[in-house]
Amino acid sequence: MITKFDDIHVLIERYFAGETSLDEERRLRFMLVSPDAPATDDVAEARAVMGYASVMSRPATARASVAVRLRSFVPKIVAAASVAVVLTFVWGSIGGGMKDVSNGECMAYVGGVRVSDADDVMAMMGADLRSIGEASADVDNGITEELNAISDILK
Amino acid sequence: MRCLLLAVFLSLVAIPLRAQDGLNINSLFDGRYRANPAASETIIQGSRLSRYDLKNYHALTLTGVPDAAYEIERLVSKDGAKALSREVSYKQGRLYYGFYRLASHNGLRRYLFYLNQHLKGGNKIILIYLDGDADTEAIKRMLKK
Repeated sequence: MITKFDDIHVLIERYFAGETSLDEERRLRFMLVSPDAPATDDVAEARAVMGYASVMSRPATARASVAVRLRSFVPKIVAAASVAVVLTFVWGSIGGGMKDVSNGECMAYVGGVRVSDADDVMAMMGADLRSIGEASADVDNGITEELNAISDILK
Repeated sequence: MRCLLLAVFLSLVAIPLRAQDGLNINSLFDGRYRANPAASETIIQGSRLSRYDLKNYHALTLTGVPDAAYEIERLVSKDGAKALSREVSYKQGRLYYGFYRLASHNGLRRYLFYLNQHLKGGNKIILIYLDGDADTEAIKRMLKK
């Protein structure tokens, strides 16, 4: 198999940027395994990350240390975390839930159908609260009756 | 692509942590009932609640599903166990009505209402979460309006 190394440096750069396709990664691995690959720092680093440092018959000119590997991932993790924070706030403003978001969100889901009309949604809230209010009054009345019954006994 | 996947993963982890706020009933508001034909879920936030001195209103109503009360009651009871105050009523050994003042969070007073009408001839289970500046008496006055 004839291995061309013309684009090995480009592929390595794309690999660390997370942009390589599966075919490109496969091609890069073939190139890195070959003893004829260029003896450059980026090739050595790629070999170290991909676990090929001990495979070569010709010693690598530079072996990427653990610190170098971690350094190459830190910017990516920071970028990913930043995106995650943005996604979380975007999700949070859309998804509802137990949070303090003063964006005037007003919606309901009834039997799988989304209701966006604010008046209808507020009417649903009113109906729920009326049911709760009736039950609350019922409970209060029950307590009053029990206390009256006790009071009658004590007379 | 890897960065995007990592970002999505991190945000998925972060979302539950942000929305949970330590309440067990939050799991009921994760959207599982929105497509349920027997359920209605109401979400109101912000200015429309200002006349009640509230910030958030989130309610779940299930109609004609009495068995759903077992799980909801369990979660309500867990949160209610840590309530600052409570008014509860039991029927047939089950929680019929509950009004709980929960520990405040982010400076907001939090309340929980629960009602299982199935225990008294009705057909609804209602769970309401409220938070805001309103005190307990204001919440009770709101019920009478």
